[in-house]
Amino acid sequence: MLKKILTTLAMTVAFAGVAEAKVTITCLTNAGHLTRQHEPLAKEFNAMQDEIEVIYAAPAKNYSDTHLKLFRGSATNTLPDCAFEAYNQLPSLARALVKRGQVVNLDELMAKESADWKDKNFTSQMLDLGRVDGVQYGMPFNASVIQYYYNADLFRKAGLDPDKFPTSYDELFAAAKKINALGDDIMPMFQYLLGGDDWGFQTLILQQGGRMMSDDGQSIAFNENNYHVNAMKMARRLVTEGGAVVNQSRKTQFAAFTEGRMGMWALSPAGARNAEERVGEAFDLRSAIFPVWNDKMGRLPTGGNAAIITAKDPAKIAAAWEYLKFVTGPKGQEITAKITGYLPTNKGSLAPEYLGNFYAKNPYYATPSKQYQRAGAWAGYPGTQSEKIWRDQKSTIRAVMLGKKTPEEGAADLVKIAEKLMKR
Amino acid sequence: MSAMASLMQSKQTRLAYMLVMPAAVLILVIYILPIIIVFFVSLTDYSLVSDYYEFVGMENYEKMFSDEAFGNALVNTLIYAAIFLPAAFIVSLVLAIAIQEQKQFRSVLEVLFFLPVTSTLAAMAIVWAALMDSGQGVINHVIVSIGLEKINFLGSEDLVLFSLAIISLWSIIGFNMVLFLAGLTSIPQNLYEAAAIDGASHPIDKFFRVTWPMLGPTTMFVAVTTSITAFKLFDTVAIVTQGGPDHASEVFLYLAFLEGFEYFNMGYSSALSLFFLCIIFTFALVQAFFADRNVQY
Amino acid sequence: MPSGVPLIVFLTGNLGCKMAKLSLKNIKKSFGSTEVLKNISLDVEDGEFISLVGQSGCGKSTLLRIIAGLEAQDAGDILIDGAPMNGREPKDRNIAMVFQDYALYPHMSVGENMSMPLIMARLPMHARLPGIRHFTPAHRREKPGIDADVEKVAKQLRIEHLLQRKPAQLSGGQRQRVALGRALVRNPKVFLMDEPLSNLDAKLRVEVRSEITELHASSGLTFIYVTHDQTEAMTMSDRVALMQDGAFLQVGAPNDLYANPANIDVAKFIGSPEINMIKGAVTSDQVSIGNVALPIALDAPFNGAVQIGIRPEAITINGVPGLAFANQSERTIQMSFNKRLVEDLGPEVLIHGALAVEPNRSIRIRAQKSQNYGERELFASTSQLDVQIDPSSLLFFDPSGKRISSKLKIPTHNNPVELVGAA
Repeated sequence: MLKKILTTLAMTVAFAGVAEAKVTITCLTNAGHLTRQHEPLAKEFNAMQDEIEVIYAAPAKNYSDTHLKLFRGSATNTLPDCAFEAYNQLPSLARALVKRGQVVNLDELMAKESADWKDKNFTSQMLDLGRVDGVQYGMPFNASVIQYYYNADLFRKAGLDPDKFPTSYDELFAAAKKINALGDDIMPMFQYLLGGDDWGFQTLILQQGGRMMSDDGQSIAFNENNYHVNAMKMARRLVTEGGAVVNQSRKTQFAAFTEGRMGMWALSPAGARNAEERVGEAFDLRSAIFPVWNDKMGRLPTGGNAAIITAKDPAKIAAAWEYLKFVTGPKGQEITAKITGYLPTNKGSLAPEYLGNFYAKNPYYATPSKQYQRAGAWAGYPGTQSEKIWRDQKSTIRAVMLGKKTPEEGAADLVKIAEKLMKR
Repeated sequence: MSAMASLMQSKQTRLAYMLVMPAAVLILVIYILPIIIVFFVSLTDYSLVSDYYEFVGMENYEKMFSDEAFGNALVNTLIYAAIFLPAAFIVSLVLAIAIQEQKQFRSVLEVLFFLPVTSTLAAMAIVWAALMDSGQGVINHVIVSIGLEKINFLGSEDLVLFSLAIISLWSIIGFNMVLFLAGLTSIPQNLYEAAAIDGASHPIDKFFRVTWPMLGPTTMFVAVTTSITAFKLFDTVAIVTQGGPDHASEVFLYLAFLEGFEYFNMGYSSALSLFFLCIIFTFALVQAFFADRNVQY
Repeated sequence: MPSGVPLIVFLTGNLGCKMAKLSLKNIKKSFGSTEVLKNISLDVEDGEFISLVGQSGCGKSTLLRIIAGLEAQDAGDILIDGAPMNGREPKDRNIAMVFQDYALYPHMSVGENMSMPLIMARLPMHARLPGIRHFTPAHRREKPGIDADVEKVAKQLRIEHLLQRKPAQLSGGQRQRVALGRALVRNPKVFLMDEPLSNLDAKLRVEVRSEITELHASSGLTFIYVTHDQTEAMTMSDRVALMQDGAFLQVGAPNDLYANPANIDVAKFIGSPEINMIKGAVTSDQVSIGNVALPIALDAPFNGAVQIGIRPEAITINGVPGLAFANQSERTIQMSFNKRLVEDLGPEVLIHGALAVEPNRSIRIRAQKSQNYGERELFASTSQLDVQIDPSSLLFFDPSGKRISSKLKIPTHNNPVELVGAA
């Protein structure tokens, strides 16, 4: 309540001296590299026109915090006007908000646009990321599939061809072994798996051509065709053959990579700019597409977030839609992709005047666009216990990686954990 | 006469109640009411993310005792306390005795050791995490430079509780030391002189015959407050390890936080909180009981 | 302990027969730039009771602590029976000490307090450690003996029924006894006491005073007793060492200090109420106060100003029944006295006022009442009283405060000289 009063007050103050017709909307996003792209976007948008003023609320810590903040805002009726919600958490949020009439159905807004607007800008594969139960609640804003960064200097030193990044796991592990042989203080590789959310685990399932959930989203499907056992075997191989380290934080290992003490690093393209800045001129930093197991069927979970509208006032809804169209439009996506490295969600942004020339000139940033067709769903579990499911699964995967559990045991545990907690 | 007296008395009684009221209301609103609310929440399956909830009776409490995470958190907390308590106690006592005998630098040393207490632990935890980093941490650089193996302070299940204990120790020793110093200063000097005359001039005799028994009330206070500190370990865990690696630093309060705010199980989290309250309450009782007895030698 | 039970029950046999002669040789001590003890030398005979008396800050407590070994002297030697004690720890000096506030261990029972010195002396370190001490053979072997010795001393001090109590549960007098017991139980050669009576009320103080005297007599120990109360020093000691500014003013038997003070400070410190001082002058051998010549003369020539000390009890009052000297001497000095205030102390009266010859100097007269004391006459009388002074009791000091050792020549004529006040 107090917060609402304060926000209102702040808005009133912001209004003073500005034309009365101006609509102000407040958006919520995460701190860190997400905020880094939103600042110039809002600035550009506000400068571009006079009717709408976009401001950002104090950022949330991370995706789960955004999620929680929105839930709290929903319960206390203090939602912002628009927000950026992670794909895997969008379903549970949208389903809760729609019951209370707190989220806008974007299909209706898109219908008012010109007939070819949708096709000109988005692939249906991309739009699917923001669809829940067949309804478009979110506009895909940031998208990322896992990719490899590598130290080309170390590749050369290890007798590897820096222009040919491994395209299969066997090649990858062979390269890791050669890099590992360079010295005690050189680490071979890192692949995102235990350091945060289950995006890394979903990578292992989807790249085999598998899927996390059944089509209705109500039961698990990652155990189809022994995908989960294979995934666990792969996790173990990362340690035994790839020389990946389990007991070190991601931060520590990232420092090693940017200081030139690690060969290969697999994570979201969102950190491309950050990595480039940290590395500077220290070594030849390059990026490569992720070696997928099943080249035909294999997909990669798409990380990132979708923009949703949680305003109620029609004027604000309209204003928020304008802003969403901008940030997910070619110009907005160009800005975003250049600042972060994210895969642009807008087809149009690949045109030469936006990102086309930039990618041609900077192959380091172009990798996301090369695995555009790999972008698959980043699934979430029904119910509220996704966090807990992953926390427990993480322990299991860790045990498998350390050899404390066999891949088969671990895979069985993953299923057990998910099925037990999903019901809640 | 007696009617007058009773009138006076009832007037005074009313005044007394009025004077007590603000404090009583505050205690009620700040402590009692929330505890009652938490108790009621603990009887429901209330979740932050859903609109409805229902009473589930003692289910949350029953769940506690079959929950592996609960057992793990309890064991972690006890291990941590077993590392932290004796160290927090002995190191600060030894420091206090050593500093008290210093004449020249006493105040300087007092300030130095007290400095960590004045800093924000949350901020310092980040610094400690950097110092203890397994790869490029300063501590590991020193360890390597003297020819030893690197130590994975925060990434090893076996070490992480020790590492957290070191951070907490750093932040609390100065405080305990000042408490002990106050206790030491209040021991009459002539008791040591009497002890010297009686033949107890060896430091060990002085300590066990005079210092230790005379520190009784201080010791009890330090023991109880330090125990409570040990059991309410949270901020360093939340900042430095988030319960990892592999739940090895998931202590009791952090589990309650996880359940409530990360997993949204407010009902269960409330049950955990009440359990925690009972533990702390026991310590407070012990202190109140012994503090009363200790005043009179 | 029931009041008045004497301590003479103490058996000398318990303490054995031993010599304990204490010698202090040129003891010096400074705290920073403050010189606390200036070249103190003193010989204390075996079995002697000597009091160190002086104002607070005179160094008497420091001297006692140096003897005890709680403080180290900067220079000089301490010898007990000829053996140098320099640098020895207190426990190796064969001394016992009773502290001003007793310094009983508040966490120990009376019995534990008293057995402390014995435990320290008889048990090795490992048998004194908490937790394991009860399992050591030394503890098993020595404990019965320690308990027996404590009990014996407790019985002698009549505190055996208090052995289980904590000091906080005892009265002041009882604590005093426990402190004595703790000191006695270790069978010391020299017994040091630091103002042991100052925390007792007046009645108890007198009682314990005599008990300590009796304890000294029966034990035959060497006692060194520090006090600021000259009455205690005078009543208890064989000798009194009066200290001021870190040096002895005079050391001697109590009556010696009273009757023959070496200087004004000693005269002022010893005796209660304090000695009256009057300015006077001596020309060749004639003594005068103001412009009145006294009918007395010194036996040696002296010229110049003098301070004349008159003990309050050396003045007597004429005209009030029951206050006059019993044997009125012919050789008294008659003077006129202006009464200002009378304090009745029961057996005696204290009369404040001034001599007519020197109205600005306050004078106190202490007069014993006899049976027919005329209270009415004293109080009703006009402010002017006739008094007479025993000239033989007068003490003369030169301007520096040093006693003029000359004897008085007493006039030989029969009639007392009539003196007329200057006023």
